[in-house]
Amino acid sequence: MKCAKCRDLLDDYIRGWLDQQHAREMADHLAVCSDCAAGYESHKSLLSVLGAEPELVIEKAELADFVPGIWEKIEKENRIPLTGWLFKIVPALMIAGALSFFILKPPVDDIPDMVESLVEDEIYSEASYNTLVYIMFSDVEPEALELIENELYANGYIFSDEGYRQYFEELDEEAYKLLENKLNELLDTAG
Amino acid sequence: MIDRLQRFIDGDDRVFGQLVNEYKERIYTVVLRVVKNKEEAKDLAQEAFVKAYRNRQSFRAESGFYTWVYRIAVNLALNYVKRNRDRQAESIEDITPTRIATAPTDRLEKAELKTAISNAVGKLPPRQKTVFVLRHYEEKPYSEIASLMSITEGAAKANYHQAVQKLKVSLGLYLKEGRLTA
Repeated sequence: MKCAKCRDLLDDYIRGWLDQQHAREMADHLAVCSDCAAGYESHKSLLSVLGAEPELVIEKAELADFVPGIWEKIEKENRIPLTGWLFKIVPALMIAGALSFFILKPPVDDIPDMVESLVEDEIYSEASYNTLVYIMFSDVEPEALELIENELYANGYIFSDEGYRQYFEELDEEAYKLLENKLNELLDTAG
Repeated sequence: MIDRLQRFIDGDDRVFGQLVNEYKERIYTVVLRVVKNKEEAKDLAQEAFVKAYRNRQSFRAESGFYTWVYRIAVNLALNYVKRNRDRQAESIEDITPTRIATAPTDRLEKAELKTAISNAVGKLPPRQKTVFVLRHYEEKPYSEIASLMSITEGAAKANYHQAVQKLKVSLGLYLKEGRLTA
């Protein structure tokens, strides 16, 4: 076994999660490699300290109002249809906008004044997202948005500003650059 | 089970209530581990169930209700700690008052250790902290962590490794002295 592989499996080995064959290979390697053996001791020591941490005990009272709280939240959402719709549609628009940015041609005539702040604020800002949405999806069917939203929810995407930021952060450099250039282009056209 | 999940999808609120009661503690625990604030953890855990309820028609029964809500909850918690990085650093001890089931003689040392670990984990950057919680406390394999957090397995390993290196520095005193390692 090579040192890199040993380092990779070290945590599993100490936790006893390796199968017999890998565990044997680890033991053989640690017996002859002093660097890895030192890493093993250090990691084992950390896990030992962490393992001595008292168990987290959840008191019953902590969750006594958990279920009623959920129903309250659901009812509250149902009571504010307009805001509720905005909360549902705007995030879906943003994600859909990001996904479809390179497919749809923006209606340049509709670019709002907010575009000017787009580049100044960098594209991560909330205003920039709103502008992006406005540019991209002024005429998207609500049914289509709901389908997109459901699909995204099913895959664990979370609709929050941070979620979009994370999404944009995870775009590769080339895609990000294209997006940025496109926004600059729109700014030039508007100006 | 599939039948019960189908009833949930069809809008049976009683079944939804049962599912919440079954999984609320586990969902709350993992969120609490990440956000380290009981009130916020409860709110986020509830929000995860609300999202599941609201989108029940897009739920695919074969993936499992718990896995689905768990994934939503982990991402809500991660987003929360990212949004509140500064506030987090000040409130990371909120988790510590939870009852400690130990003998009186070593209660003080255990409490001290618990605080030290909580502080050290609490100071990790959001993604490293979430990966660490999923790996260490939830005992998830890297492949599952990667799937839950929508990152690559390599990124999950790298984040865990970085978290471990930081914890070794933060908990250096305990490691060197061999204290409380029973």
